[in-house]
Amino acid sequence: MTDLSTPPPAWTMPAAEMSDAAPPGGQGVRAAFDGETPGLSEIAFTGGFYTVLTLGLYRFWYATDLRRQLWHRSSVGGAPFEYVGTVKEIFVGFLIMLTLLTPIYVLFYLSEFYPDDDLGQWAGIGFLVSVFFFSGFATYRARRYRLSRTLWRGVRFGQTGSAVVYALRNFGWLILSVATLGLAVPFWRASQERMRINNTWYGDRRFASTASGWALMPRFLVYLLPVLGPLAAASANVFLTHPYDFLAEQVSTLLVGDQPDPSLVPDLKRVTWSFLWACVGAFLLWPFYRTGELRRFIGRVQLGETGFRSDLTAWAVYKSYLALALTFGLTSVIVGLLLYLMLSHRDGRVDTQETRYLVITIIGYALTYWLFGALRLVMLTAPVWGKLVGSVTVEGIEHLDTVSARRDPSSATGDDYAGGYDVGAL
Amino acid sequence: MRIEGRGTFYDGRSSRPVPVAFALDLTRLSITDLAGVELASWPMASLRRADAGAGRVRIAREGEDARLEVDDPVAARALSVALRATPAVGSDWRGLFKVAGWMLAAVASIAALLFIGIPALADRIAPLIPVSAEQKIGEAAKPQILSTLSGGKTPKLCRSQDGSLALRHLTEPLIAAAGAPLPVTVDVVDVRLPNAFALPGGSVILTRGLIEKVASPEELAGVFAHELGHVVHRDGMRGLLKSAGLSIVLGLIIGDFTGSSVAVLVGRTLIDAGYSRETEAMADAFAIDLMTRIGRDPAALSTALEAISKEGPELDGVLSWLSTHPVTAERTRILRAAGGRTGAAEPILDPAGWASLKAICR
Repeated sequence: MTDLSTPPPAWTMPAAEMSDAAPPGGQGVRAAFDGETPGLSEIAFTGGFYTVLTLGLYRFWYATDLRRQLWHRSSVGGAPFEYVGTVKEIFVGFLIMLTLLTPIYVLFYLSEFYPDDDLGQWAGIGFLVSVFFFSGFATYRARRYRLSRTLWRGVRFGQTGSAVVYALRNFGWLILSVATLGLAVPFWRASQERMRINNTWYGDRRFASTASGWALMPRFLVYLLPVLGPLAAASANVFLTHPYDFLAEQVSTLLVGDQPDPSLVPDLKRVTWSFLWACVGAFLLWPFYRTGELRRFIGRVQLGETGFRSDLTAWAVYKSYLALALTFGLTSVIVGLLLYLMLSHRDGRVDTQETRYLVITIIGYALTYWLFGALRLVMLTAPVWGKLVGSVTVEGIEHLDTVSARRDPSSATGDDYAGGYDVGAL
Repeated sequence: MRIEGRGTFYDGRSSRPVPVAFALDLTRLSITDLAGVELASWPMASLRRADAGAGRVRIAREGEDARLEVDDPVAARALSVALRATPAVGSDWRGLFKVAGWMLAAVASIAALLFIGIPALADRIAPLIPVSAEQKIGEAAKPQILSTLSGGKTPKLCRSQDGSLALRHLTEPLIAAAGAPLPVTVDVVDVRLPNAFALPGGSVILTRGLIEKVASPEELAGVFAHELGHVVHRDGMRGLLKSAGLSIVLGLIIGDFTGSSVAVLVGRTLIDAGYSRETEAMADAFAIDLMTRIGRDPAALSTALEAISKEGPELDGVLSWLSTHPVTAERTRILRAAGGRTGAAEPILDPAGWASLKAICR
């Protein structure tokens, strides 16, 4: 344990951007993230270790420690943020969430028990709908909790607006997006961003966002083209080079589980491969879209007369991903070798292979979970967080001297439903 | 002790930074603006350390958002030494004993839920599930279980005419006496390992190995009576409900929404095994009662169990605990003790019938 909790090597953290000087060519001060002071990786490794050891119970303490680190390492105008949430609060939030999740689980098991009945099918639909609803609801509530526990210059942030409305809007946009074959997605994201930001407060001052789906559209299309292009081309090829009647007949053949006509096989293979690529590519290219989106979102945020700007690049984020992928690869090889040695090593004890496999599987799983979780945090989550914070320039920070704290508590205790889980982590 | 210096004060009402002078002595922290007006005076006991980042000290008063920030390296170091023992902001549930205490409380309530709450709930809910639903579940599960039992090959059910007739002769009196809440069906599957199962929905499966292994029709009747106990108690349904409940609870605790991760599976297997020991004991009791009622010796089950366990795979300490049909000394002792009270003169199945039952798979 201890040798892993030493200060991180330089490459695990982005270079600290402690300068509060105005960046060249513009006004304003740059936000900063301190990734160099040791302590973060210690929390990642020891906190993760205790979490695995207690089968997850420690994660409330772990999450709180982690947030405190990420918050106070981030500063604007030389004033660091402070996370003032407590373990007790997110534990209570977790208990509330248990009661909210129970009916959802009942629906899930009803659908499992009666897969062929109307009841089971309705329960299945109800389960999917309620999970979708709950994820929107929980992320909005969790955001409210985190904002209300964020202190900057002695004044808290806050969030108004209804989580139910937020979750329902997700439904409307989902239907629209399906109807428009995905083209409404940028408008969906911009609309929800406007709802989030327009309901965000710093003290008694309200944030405002003019995020627009049109501004995201070019980037979204550039993202979509390589992801869905091959699939569209392969599918079009099938429809254009074969007569409709033949295809209809082939579909019914495939449905009963028979082999398709040999003339169709290479074309269908192309469709399958391009579909697989679409799934992988959508994931791989997501940071490219997301960083562009964040820049446009942040650039359209206004807090009174204070404005924001971000120059976050996709490459900066991809660098962290690459470093993590490389480390994961290397670690997997080493861990795999160790496991192999443990399994093939025979000692004198009377012990069946099965017991040994069982024990090693459990240990191996716990070890993997711990190691990869901690590495992910130290090499990806924290650095990307740092790069995002460090990319922001605040214009007109002097206007922030006149904000008053709100005395009404927009901050019911412990409604961090997502906090115990990884829904919209951090 | 007295520490003095300059810093920045935020009063918690406004975001305006105020340059201040501070003085900390053994009783209080006094904060004055540069004109000498006292802005705050915090008693030592109410002070809290707040996170501030490297090279900076931030001091709070308990329950307030006001902060004093000190950047000056000399004063900051002096302050952090002086306030070493001061608790941090938001330090409820902190400290080794509190963390351990809350953990223990959580573990205790989870254990109560797993070992008392879920079984009790499953026992209440299982009778409420309509028989038709249970039968559907059983039908859905049967092909899968038969295929697993046959080592992934297409399962072969044994249905020789004479053998099936003999099987009916043997089982029907038991089924009639058992008073099962749902129709019971019996199948013999062509598998070498001796074993017997009761699926949800009243389906009992015996293996060829079991029929070949047992010494007498009474022993087979004993095993069948035991499986009937599972059917009557609706153990299959209760088992499903318990498994579902376990997945939910473990999934929620571990923080895995789908409840399908390895950690959940391992936990479920361990606790499921614990449940099944009790279930087996109840099915044994049912078998003793049933065999006694039809005037047969219940000790036959114990002989059959011993025969099966000799044939089964040798298991060491950990795994024998995981076995769902653990043959424990305790079980055998109870069964033996119940034996000998009754014993009808004629065998439960005539020798010709027994011979054709043994040949049911040919």
